[in-house]
Amino acid sequence: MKQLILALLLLSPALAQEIRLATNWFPEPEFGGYYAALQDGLYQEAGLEVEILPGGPEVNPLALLATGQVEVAISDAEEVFFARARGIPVVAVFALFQESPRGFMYHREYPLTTFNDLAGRTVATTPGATLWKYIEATYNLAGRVRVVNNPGTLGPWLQDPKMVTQMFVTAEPYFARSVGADPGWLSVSDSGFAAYESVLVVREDFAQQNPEVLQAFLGASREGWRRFLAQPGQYAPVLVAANPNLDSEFIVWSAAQMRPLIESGKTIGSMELERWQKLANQLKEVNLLNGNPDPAEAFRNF
Amino acid sequence: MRRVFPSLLALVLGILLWQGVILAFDLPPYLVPGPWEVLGAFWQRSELLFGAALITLEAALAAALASGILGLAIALILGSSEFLRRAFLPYAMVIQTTPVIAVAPLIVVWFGFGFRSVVITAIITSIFPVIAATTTGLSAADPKLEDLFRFYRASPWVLLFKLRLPAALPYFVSGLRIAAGLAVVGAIVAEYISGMGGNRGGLGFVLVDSAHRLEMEVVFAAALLSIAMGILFLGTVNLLGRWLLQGRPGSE
Repeated sequence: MKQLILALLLLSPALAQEIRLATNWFPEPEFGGYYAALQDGLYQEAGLEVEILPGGPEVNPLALLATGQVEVAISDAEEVFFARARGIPVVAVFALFQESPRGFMYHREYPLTTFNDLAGRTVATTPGATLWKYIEATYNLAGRVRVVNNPGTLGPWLQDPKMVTQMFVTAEPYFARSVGADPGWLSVSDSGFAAYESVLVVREDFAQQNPEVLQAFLGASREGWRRFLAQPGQYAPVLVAANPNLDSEFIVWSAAQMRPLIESGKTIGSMELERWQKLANQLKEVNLLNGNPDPAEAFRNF
Repeated sequence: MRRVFPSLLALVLGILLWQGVILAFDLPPYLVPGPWEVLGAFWQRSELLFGAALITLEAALAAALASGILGLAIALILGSSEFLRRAFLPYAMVIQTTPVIAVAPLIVVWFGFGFRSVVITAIITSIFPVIAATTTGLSAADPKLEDLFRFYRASPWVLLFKLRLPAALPYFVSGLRIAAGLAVVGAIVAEYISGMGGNRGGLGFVLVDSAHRLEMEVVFAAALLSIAMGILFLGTVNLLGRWLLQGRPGSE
């Protein structure tokens, strides 16, 4: 009887492997490749039933991953180290952004050329977050910058020509220009911070027990990203359906900003050991990571 | 007409003042959108706004109902004995004083994405006034009447249903009135924190995402919708209260 059920399970195409993907923000072009793979049925072809669960300001996808509510979570590389240090066995399997999509945006009338120039400015960021701690320590900015909490809108930045705000180069410059501002920015990559961003993370046991499933999922996702970056306008409908605040023009613009940041690696999503090692060292330098975590265990290329 | 005239006049003056301040200080729409722009947002983004409002409405309604029913049940348990009341009522206050921002992310982790988490957060925000008011009401019956019931050896059930519950009813209704407004606020805060709460976003999502996109007229419109929803809830509870308390001395 057991064998019969097992055979039926294996034969039945309807019982595809379920993968729930928790993102770290509302549906937006930064997740475009996954939505493209959905729209084109790439996951279905790979025998997967994929559901994308959109996050929000306070949703921690890694917590959902740790509690088994999702199979894959989107996070940033440093979070993988932190989770592992707390005894949560997770591993990164795909790094979308080879170069950071984040930056510090200024008004061109008061430009910045390096992160040292932040001294004396008001900076809207996430004060306790890893990135700011790294930048503050590396450029010796403690006490020399007026740090304010990112208000979630560009209003205050637009009112103050000397203000600097942390932002995504894939979104905020578009909004700033739409109301007549002339923005420039420093990329987080130029600060030297080594973290891969928008990383796909899975539980270690899942990676060990289901390598074929993971391979199928990542292969379809990679192809989804290729298609999305090549023709983002074509995939606007599925993104707009998921987030009615999006529109085709913004999606196409955003994808064009993302493309060089994603395609600068070997293949889309691939990761290098040196980069993980460098990140571990940086986190230790700013006292965010103790002990000697092995970077080779924090990620796996599929 | 004569009764609503003053409030209509205040509304028109308020809108004129709003537009006047914008013109006087030359405020850009990304800081303060004008009344026309907000009206335009209702028209142009009606699908987004009313779709989101429906999602929030569903969650807030579920939470208000649950707060009413659960709050009454908890109050009955607490009100059934002085010991229980003294033991647990102070801790019920913990529910009220815990910041939602502290628990909402945990609730998402415990109960998963979606509707359920939003409703639970909204219940936590709104249940306490029902518990507190109803528990007070259950012991608010005239002690002389209670003596009379005892004198006739009424069973505890008769005492509860014929005396204490009717005495508690006005208290329950005023607790529910506060809870109804809080349920809307709680649902929006939960959506604000947990994002889309699954696959579709309510007003809380619209508030975050539209502010991010500098579409302040949409933010204002969403805020107006949530105010309207709160008023609708209050009005419904008032009607319900009037119906429940009809014929009583002191009820309108």
